[in-house]
Amino acid sequence: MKKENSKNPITEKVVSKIERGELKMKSRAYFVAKSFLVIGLLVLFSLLLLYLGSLIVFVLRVNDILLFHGIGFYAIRSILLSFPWYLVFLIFVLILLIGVIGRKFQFVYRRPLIVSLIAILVMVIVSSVLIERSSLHYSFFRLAEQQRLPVAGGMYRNLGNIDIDNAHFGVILEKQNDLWVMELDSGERAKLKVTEKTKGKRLYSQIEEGEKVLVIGEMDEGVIDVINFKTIERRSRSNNQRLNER
Amino acid sequence: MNQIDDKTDEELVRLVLKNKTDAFDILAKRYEKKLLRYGKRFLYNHENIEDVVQNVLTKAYVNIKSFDPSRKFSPWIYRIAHNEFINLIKKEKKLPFLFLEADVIFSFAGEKNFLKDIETREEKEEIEKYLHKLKEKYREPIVLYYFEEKDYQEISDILKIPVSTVGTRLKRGRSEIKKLLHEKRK
Repeated sequence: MKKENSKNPITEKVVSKIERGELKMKSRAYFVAKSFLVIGLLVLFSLLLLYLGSLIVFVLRVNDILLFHGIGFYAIRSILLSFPWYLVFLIFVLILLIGVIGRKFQFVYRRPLIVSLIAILVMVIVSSVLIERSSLHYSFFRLAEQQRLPVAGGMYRNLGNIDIDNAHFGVILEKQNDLWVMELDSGERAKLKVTEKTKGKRLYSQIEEGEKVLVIGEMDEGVIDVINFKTIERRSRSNNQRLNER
Repeated sequence: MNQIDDKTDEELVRLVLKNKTDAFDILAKRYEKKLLRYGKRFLYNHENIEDVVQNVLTKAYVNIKSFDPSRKFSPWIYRIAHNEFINLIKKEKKLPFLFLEADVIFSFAGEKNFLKDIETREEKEEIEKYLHKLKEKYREPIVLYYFEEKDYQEISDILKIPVSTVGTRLKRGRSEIKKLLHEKRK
């Protein structure tokens, strides 16, 4: 290499180091391995995301949370306090991680981030609903109830039996002394008492025996002070018998 | 030597990958002054610019096998320079976490042609005087667009931000400089 004057002193320093063997190119294999690692992480995080998303859908269905719509703020408050928010938090963390790693790719960083985030959310929601319908979580749930699921058994037992405060599912049996009596899912019987706080009193008077209901209210010594209620159509659960059948 | 001098950056990289050190010598010389100029304007004559540019060229050589010769070399080496400059700034002060900047998350309205009126050398000199007063996130796109003559796509690849955000930041940087010019003239 011909020595030049110091028009490019920085280049000369670097090239001298190369010629002395002080600088070496990293191997192609190093970069291939790095790419595999990045793609591997993306795949792993995506699968985890789908798993958690479908788990949330499972939690909503198996605990009949979707039946709570239109039943008032008191019930919504109970759900918000009982819901396993750590699952939602983990989903956001994973979406953030996928967003950070995905920025290495031109098709991701060239677009506004909101587009990528919305695309991920839509894919997660659609995929989660589809995966949940596959009975995967219900199978795990049943195994967990039978104490045959190692590691995740406790998690599934908790998630499948979320105790939503002051929410009671059951069937109307009969009227006794002007009070409707219902049989709760647990097999217990409770009387329904109308108070000044009860909403939908007109509907209450139209209840019929045999109707399936969701009642919101505090229960004390077999009497529920009704705040709100609704008649419900329980989903036919060919793949998820409600686990009060213990 | 003349023949090798005439080769494109990407052709030179292909030779470097075959361990032709003289090809890297030519490539580095092509970019040494450009990177120094970029660094001096972005870092506002920081005393360690030469060391930083040396790091850039060193990293370019060490990592050259990660470069895909079917793409343009210039954004790739400028990206390395950008990372080194940002690391230097971070050592000296805290920078916001740029991934979560609002104009990266939400920007859609990049105006690609608004800067056509900046044509004259005098206007460029005026802009250069006020560069150091801009925030880094506005200063850098202006340096790359006006002085390094990169286009929007290239700036997007160098800074890894949406193309629309490049337009937004150029516009805001320009507004800031207009304000400063206006205050000076009062």
